[in-house]
Amino acid sequence: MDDQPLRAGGGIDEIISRYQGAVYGLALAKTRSPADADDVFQEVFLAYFQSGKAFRSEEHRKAWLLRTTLNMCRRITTSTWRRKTVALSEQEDRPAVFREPEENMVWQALCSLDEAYRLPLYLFYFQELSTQEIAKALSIRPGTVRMRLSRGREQLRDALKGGFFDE
Amino acid sequence: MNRDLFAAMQRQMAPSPAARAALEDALAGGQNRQRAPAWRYAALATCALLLAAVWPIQWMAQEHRWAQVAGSFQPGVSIDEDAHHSYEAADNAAVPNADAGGGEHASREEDVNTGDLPNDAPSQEAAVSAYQNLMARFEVEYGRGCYPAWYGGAYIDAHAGLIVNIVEDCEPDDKSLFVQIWDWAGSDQVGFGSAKYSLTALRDLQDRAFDAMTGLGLTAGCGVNEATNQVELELCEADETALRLLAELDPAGDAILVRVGPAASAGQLQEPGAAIQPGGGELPDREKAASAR
Repeated sequence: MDDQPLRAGGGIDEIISRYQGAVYGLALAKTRSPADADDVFQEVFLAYFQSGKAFRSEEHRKAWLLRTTLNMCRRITTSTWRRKTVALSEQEDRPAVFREPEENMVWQALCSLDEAYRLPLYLFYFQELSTQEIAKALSIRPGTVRMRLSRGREQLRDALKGGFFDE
Repeated sequence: MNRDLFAAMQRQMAPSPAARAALEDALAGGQNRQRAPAWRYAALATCALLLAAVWPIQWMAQEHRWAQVAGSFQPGVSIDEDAHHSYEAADNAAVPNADAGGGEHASREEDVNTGDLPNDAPSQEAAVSAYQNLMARFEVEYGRGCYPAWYGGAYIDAHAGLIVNIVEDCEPDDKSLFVQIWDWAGSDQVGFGSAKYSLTALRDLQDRAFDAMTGLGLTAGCGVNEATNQVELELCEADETALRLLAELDPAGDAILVRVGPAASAGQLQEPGAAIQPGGGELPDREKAASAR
């Protein structure tokens, strides 16, 4: 992977291509809405471009992007305008976003979990972050991450009736 | 969990073409975003100042409370999500299934003559076996009665699962330590928790605390509770000298839990005593402590 300037702004297209999946995926996991995830995706990279921030390393850059994604999700989902105008039916719908039926089944089961379990599970299994990285992204202790992963797995297994997992 | 499936799903997670195009337009046009109004920064700064002003008062009050010799009962540490004895059962598809864990459960379900009733507590046999395997490996690797620096103790939880505590400062960035522990225990059903103190440090503290209290003629019992990552000290009475000595041994105030009550012949308390946790207050007066001995 080519080195990109550690200062935000340089090589923006490459940065977007490299991290759009992570940013969009985390936004989708948090908001459970593809439309909101699109908005968050735009806001995060606009903020990144305009920040001009210098990063110590790629890990630092990624951590910044993930933290900003979570912050943007909170802003978008708690805005007064949105609360007044978004229809309840839109919030309840979880349209299929994946090709395979079992993929959508897994995603819907994941979305049925509380956010406290959903986000650590997503970051651990989909983005393959370590518990330390997840702890930093979510601003919680590593021990708490591990406990939430454990409990979240149990709930996910129950939601999927246990027939899906490789044991 | 199915790693390939999650990877395939992650690859499909991408913003819509419309969103990507809108972002590119915004970046190309050098769109000036509306900066947050100045009042928002002022509000944040005010909140930060208020928090900084309140924080020292909170800390001093806690320290003062810990330093008191309480006449009323102070319960022991309660288990909550953020406590250092949190529970984890991490999964790793690369770890081969161990016969001790899965096979044990499968055979129990099929055996009709176990005598187990549906509401019985789960058998701890698998967890005990894993623990024994781990201890045997420790002896080989580190010597009899010695433990690695990352080992914060182990216990069997309410679900009959073995939990191995990893010292917080020794937590690795990857899964290598977990894989090693599963391998040594011969089971991938071992869960992990976090601990502040290594078992070696707690055992050493136990010895020093016991010796100190024995010198004062106060000791009733002493042991290490690996589930709570603490030394539990039972005293027949607690006086200021004893608590000051313990505060010197445990400046942070969270490594030693003191229970005070009448000593029983079996070495156990006859009734629940007050639990006092000496805090990290002022260092004791060494001359007074020496004269008290």
